[in-house]
Amino acid sequence: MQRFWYWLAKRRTIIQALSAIGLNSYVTQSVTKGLPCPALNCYACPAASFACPIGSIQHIAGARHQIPFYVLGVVGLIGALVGRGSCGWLCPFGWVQELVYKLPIPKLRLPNRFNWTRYVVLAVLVFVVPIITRETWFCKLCPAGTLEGGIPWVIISADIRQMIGTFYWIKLGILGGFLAWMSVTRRPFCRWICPLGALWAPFNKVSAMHLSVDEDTCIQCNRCQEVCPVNIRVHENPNDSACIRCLACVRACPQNSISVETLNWTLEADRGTP
Amino acid sequence: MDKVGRDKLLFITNRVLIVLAVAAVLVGLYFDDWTAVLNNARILCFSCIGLE
Repeated sequence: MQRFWYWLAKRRTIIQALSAIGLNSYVTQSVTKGLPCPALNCYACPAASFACPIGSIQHIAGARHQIPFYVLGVVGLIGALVGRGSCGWLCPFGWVQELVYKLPIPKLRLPNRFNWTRYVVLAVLVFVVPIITRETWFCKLCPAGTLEGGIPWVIISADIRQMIGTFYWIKLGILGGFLAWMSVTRRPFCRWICPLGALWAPFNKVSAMHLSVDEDTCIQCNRCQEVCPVNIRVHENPNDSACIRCLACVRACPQNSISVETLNWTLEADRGTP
Repeated sequence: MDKVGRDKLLFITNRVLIVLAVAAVLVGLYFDDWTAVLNNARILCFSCIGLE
């Protein structure tokens, strides 16, 4: 089974590309747009096939003042199964961050302090402010929406182009700022801002899929942290809330100490019988 | 707590979360959240694309 995960991890970029295409495949829109997207993909994208869960939560909780059971249930189900695995394998905006980081410019390695800011974004911009103002305030600021919806619509529609105002340029500036940050720091949006990642982060500790480190074979070389896109000391905390389950650490570990496991418990194990 | 005890707690927590998530989905579908999500996603979100 570990060979399967190793094999899959080598093909993650292909899967990310296929996901970006699949989540924006257009043809199934009329039906599948009722399904929450398993990643942060703006439903304003002309080809978007699924509904952005964050936008949907803001709409139902903010504009309709109802509890978004359905969307939170889907998000919770994904989290309970794979934790933040969607972030590492399916999210087009996460993939964009990894691509932009490949630019050959000096890098700024930031520690994972202040990761709690994503929870502030979730609470304030996705729940509190939309409920008070009845407007989707995270969507107003979201750089993924600008990249996937704002820019394509301005290109393809003359009517939309004529409606451009100050707000559009502000959003473009926010996107530009994030693109610059992404080019020097790994996955900054995922680590400090993404409210969907904030919803999934607590599930990492209790998801069905999780990482395990064999402490007997681990030599604490820190190779796992070097390759980790979210800068986790994997050998110390393999199921950190920031982990996007990309499995780069599994591939990189020289001792093969890191493995992917499923949460398992049996009555026999509990009784101490084989 | 020993490893088996920890595994048991995590396993039970995981299964409870899955059940709660499925229940939330069903409750949401009962209250027609699907239609609300679909209709909201279909209309062009001006906030998302930077238009007021």
